[in-house]
Amino acid sequence: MTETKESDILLEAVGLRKEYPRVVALDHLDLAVRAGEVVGLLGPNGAGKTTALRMFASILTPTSGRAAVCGFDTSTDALKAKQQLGFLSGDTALYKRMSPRETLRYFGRLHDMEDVLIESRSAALIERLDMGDFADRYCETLSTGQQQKANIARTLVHDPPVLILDEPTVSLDIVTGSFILEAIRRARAEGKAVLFSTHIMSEAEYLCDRIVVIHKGRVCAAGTCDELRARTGAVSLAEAFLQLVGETVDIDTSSDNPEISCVGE
Amino acid sequence: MRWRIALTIFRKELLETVRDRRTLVVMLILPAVLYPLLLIGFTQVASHQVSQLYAMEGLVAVVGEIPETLTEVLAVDAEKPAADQLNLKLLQLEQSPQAPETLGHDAEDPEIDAVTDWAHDVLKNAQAHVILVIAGDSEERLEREDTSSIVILYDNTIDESRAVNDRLFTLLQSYRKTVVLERLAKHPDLSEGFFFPLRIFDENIAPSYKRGGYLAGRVLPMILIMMVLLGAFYPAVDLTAGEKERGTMQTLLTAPAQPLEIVFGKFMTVFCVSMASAMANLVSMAAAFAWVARDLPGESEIAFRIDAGTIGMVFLQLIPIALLFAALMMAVAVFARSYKEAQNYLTPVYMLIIIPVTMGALPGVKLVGFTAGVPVLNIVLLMRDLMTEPPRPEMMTLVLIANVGYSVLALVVAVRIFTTEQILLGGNGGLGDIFRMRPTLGGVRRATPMLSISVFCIALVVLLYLGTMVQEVNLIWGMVVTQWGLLLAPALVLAMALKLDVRETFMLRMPSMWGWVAAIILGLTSWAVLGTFTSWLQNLVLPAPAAFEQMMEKALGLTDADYPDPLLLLVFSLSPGICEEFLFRGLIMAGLRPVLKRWSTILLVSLMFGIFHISIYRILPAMIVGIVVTLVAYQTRSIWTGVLLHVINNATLLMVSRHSMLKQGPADVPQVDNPSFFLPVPWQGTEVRWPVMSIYIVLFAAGLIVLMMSTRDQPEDLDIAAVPAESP
Repeated sequence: MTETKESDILLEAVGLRKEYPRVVALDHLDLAVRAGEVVGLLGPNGAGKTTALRMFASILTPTSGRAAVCGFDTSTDALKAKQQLGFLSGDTALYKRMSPRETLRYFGRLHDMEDVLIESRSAALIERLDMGDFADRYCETLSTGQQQKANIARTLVHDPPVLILDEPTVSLDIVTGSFILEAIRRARAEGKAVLFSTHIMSEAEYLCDRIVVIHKGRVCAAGTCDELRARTGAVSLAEAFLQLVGETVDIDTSSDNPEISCVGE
Repeated sequence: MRWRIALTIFRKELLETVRDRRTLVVMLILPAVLYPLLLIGFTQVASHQVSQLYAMEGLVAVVGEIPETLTEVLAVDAEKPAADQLNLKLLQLEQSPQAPETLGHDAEDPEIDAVTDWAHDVLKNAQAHVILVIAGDSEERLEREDTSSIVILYDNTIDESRAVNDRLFTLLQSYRKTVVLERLAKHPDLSEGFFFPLRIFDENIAPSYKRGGYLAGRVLPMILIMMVLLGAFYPAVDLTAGEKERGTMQTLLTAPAQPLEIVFGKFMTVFCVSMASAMANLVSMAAAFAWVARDLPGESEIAFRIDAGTIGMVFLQLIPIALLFAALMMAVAVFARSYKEAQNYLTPVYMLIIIPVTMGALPGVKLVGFTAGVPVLNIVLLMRDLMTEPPRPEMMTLVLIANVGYSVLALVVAVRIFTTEQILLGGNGGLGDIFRMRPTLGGVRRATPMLSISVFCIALVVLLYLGTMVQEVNLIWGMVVTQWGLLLAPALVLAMALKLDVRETFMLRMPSMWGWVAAIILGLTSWAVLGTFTSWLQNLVLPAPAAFEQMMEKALGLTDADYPDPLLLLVFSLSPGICEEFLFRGLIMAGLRPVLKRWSTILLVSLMFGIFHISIYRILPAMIVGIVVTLVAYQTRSIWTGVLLHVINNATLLMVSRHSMLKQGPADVPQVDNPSFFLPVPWQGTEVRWPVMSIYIVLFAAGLIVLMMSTRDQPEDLDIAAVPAESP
């Protein structure tokens, strides 16, 4: 884990709450992610992970409490907060009738970047993510893996200091999934703050410096992997998680991804 | 809003739309192929049909003796060149009925009825195309130089019958002339002018472009409007619901673009595609018409003015309408979570737009001040005018201003909807929730918006059919049955059957004392203030014809001194006051209150109330009174203030009109010189007596102030607050 200071906090939530007419989706979330840190948001389906991440991304407005990206409030200063942010989720698809290169140009412009900068940055990302073969084909003709690469490039085109990833590996095969995990590790090495949600325990163990477990909209535990295991006396994170949420929940504890599950901290 | 960002979004959306082959097909290829095929094919089929109709031998079944002269006239016709022949054949069918001995002055003659049934069969079995009835005394009458009647029976809905009728009519005219000339021969003292004092010619002097324009003006605007609509449809759905379905909406929302920039970029795209589609249609249509017109000889009916200037003006006028459609379709489609759902939501919008489009084709509907303000209808009428009349700048400006106003309004609504987070994300709170019929919310059984709308539609249909039926049997008691039996009882039964909270649904709570006071003051003054205002407004917008007013007076029993006052008060004041209130301010408003803001609820309920009066001349007055009644019931959260106000308003209006009318007596008696002092407008006069009127206005305003003061502490969304939130 990289050494960090209080002043490095890039992503912060204080008493964050989201209510719908008939449901409280998230209640009183406190969270801080520092530069060069990967924090995992764990929870069963419907725990409020996506709601939390969408509030960080200014897609949803909190009912109360506040969230900030690089010090910019996500509801009152949404545009500036979004400028500092790269957001990727299983739901963020690409435009079918545009090529990855056009997509990067489009999102670069939405981030108010100069065209020259967009071109050089796109070229670098295409090279780095090995997208040269398909950078000019329509996204609808790309394989899932290629699309996901293009999607990562889209998230990184404006070089954001903060990354928010909502179950980014869901429905991906092992190769593509691990590719994304590598991208996350690289982002951490570059000093970005990464908040990512998953319900795949092995991923969390592999990547996260700290873990926040939420259930039914509330935080029920937070700490490093080891701390959580120690607190519950469990052998694995999956076991610890089950004890924390205190009931049988729908989580993916399978170890069908040996490449990831065998790598521990 | 940052224009750079909005334009970036616009450019990208346009690029992606153009790359979609479906859009291109609908936008360009379909119109390019559709019009030539449709028009050329249609013209050929039509001319083929017409020539067939002319070439056909017309069969005339004759009932009665065929006069000799007629046979001779027919023989003369047969010698003409084939193209000029009438080509008729007179038949005497076997089961032919007896001809009437004599015929009166018209075809309504009872003697003809006996032949008519048989004639139906003959036409149905195609034994003949028309039936010619010649009375038994015909020959004898002609001989003594009397007038004889001949009747042609034909069926206007059968093309052949109609065509042969025209031919036979021409033949009979020759026959009549022959008879006259024969008579003249016997009377050398009389000239031909004695029998034919007038030669009447009518000539259509409309220039050919105008004749063509008249035809085209009825069809083209409709097609154009529908094409603009269709042009907006695909991109509107694709850029909203389509994006949600494909998952790109969330991607866009994570980018630092403001909702306004996103809406604007998308809106401009939908607008451009819609306009391009309209343009492609217009050009293709003009080309196809020009091509067909080129083929037709001489002064053709199809030649019409669709020159560059007209196209330019039509194009200009299409801009606001395309803006309106784009905003409207996007505002509705964005509620949907998928393509299919969006199509479902847009179907009613489509139907709603078709109504004014078809209204434009009705005879007598013209572009005037009022119609210029009706969206869609105004553009249909204006385009029709442009093809036949010299342009009227004042009307064009009026239509343009009205449509720009509507489109801005629609755009504002669209932006507001787009900035609602749940709707853009496609989560809860979409239209799906509004369409729910199950009236449960937080454990309390409540009416839903869908229930309100359904109840309104059913009540309207019931009133239209059953209500009219019982009122035809007996007007007065039919009204009572309609109100209590067809409106109130079903509303109560439905509420109980659905196990709704009856007290909450019908707002069965007692208002405060000031609530009562407000209702009484408003009830006693509304007839004067609102009655005068609405009749002034109605005359300005859509004056009711005198026949309609007389019918209303008769229906309300105003001029019939035989009806006792208490009976009329029961039927037209107490009954509607109770029954209509329970229906509108009760059940219907209950479903709308929780989902709409105060004024939206009041206006929508009042609009429904206006429509419920089933007459275009009564919508506006009923709606305006409805606004006051709904406001009072809404503010006091009690149905009883609404009932009281409604009853008093109807009673005062009824009694004032009735007694003024009875006093005035029949129309031919001079008016009473000294009208009652309390009338703000002298009966059947137009000059407002301001001293009297101002008293009413002050009292009316006082009523409103009392109402608002006494209810100002009410939380606006009492209904929503009353429902506890469910735990997750």
